[in-house]
Amino acid sequence: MEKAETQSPQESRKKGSSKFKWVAISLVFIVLLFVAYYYIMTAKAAKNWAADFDAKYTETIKQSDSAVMRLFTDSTFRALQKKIAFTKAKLELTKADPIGLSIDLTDSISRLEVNGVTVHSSQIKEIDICQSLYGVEPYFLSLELSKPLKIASEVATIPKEPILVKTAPKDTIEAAKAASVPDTATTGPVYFEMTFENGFRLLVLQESDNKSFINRDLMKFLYSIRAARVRNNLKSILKFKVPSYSPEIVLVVPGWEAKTIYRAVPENGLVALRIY
Amino acid sequence: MASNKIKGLIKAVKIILGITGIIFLSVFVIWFLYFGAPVIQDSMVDSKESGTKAPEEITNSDLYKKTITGAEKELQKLQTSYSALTPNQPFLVINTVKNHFFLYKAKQELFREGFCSSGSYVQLISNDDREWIFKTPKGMRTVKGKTRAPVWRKPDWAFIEEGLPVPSADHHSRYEAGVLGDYALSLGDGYLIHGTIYKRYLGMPVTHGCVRLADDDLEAVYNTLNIGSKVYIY
Repeated sequence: MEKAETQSPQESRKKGSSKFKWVAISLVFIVLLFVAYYYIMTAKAAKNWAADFDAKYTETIKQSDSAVMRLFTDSTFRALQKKIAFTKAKLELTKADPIGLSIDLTDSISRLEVNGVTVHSSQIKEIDICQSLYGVEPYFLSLELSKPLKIASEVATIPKEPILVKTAPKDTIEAAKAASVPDTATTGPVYFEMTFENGFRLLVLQESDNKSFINRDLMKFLYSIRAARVRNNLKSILKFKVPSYSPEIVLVVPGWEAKTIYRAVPENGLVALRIY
Repeated sequence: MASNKIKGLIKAVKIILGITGIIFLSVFVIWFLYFGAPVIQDSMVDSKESGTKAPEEITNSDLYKKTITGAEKELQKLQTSYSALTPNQPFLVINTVKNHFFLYKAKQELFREGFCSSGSYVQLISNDDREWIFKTPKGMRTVKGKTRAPVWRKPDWAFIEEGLPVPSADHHSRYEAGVLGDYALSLGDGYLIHGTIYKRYLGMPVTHGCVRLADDDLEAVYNTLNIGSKVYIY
């Protein structure tokens, strides 16, 4: 009994070291388990979203739609229907006040349109469409995109209107001192995200000249827009609930284009979208 | 003594490794939550897009041909309605972000382009709490009037901005000739397309809401656009 209680310093150090090893292994295991759990729940959220999207349309589908739906497996018909849906959305866009945005992912072109007139078009350099948009019935997606999407909220690295507040000078001397050459310096890369009323999200990123491995400006922006989402996901997941999900489209556009598009499209504006 | 030193060193290395491990694990978790999971989370969704051509027995059927023809007709009709929206008359497009203008003859035929100046987005607040935001209105406007050798009737803000007392409505100091160039085209609500004496600022957002053009460009715009011509500003 006495023998068991008295340990040499080496023995107790060894015991401590192995205890530490187990704590470390357990910690890594718990973290990996949590990561796997988080992935499963968020992946389930994407799957549920696709199922809910289809269910929403299945409830309202007419007899005549079923025949069209069957033909949607044919690539020629599907391409035609997508064009029809996009043109319908663009015609609706003419009612946009005052400027609408149309994004044709098939031709990689975004256009600013005023009353049906294309006033500005720009080439899209890179496109990333989330898999979940292909996980829904193509016919239902085509119906969804036959109307323009209404912007519900926006987040950007630049203000919508670069308002500069100036108070009136007291006299001509103060006015002469206040007179300044306009500041036209670029204010860093432009990134913005539009969330539409139907839950779709559009992330537009200015093409980067930065050749370094990590684009810190982009990381900072993505971190800022995803912080609330990660918080909500964690809240739901810790309650063993499937978190909410929104499908996302990411576009990379050259230099000035992101700024031009963001500044031109009004808050709560309309966007017509064609997905290939 | 030496073995104690080695033991100390090993302990230090273990601590450093432990801390590095914790940091690495934390960075991994943050990276996964913010950047990894959003990218891979929809990988479990199966695609329903099958890009195949229907079998020949279907594509040769009358129903298929009829449906495709119907869809093509519908598309053509929609596209005709859409392209009818582009004016047959000359029109002007102004980009207020890059401060560029594009003058088109009928149906998107670009005739001339160049620099312009648009609203500065300055918000001026007077001592008696009146406010003005100097921005060029976006959207579609029409040319309401055309003037040669326009005379500027200075509004109140022009005096307030310069620290001068505001004169009466019809005071002679309100009228200034020559500063608007040789021509002016009115877009309504007090907004004009006109010339400028500040040519070095063309291509910059410096105006009080009007659109300034260089002399030659202004002349071309004046001669090309008619009353009722459309001006698209974005």
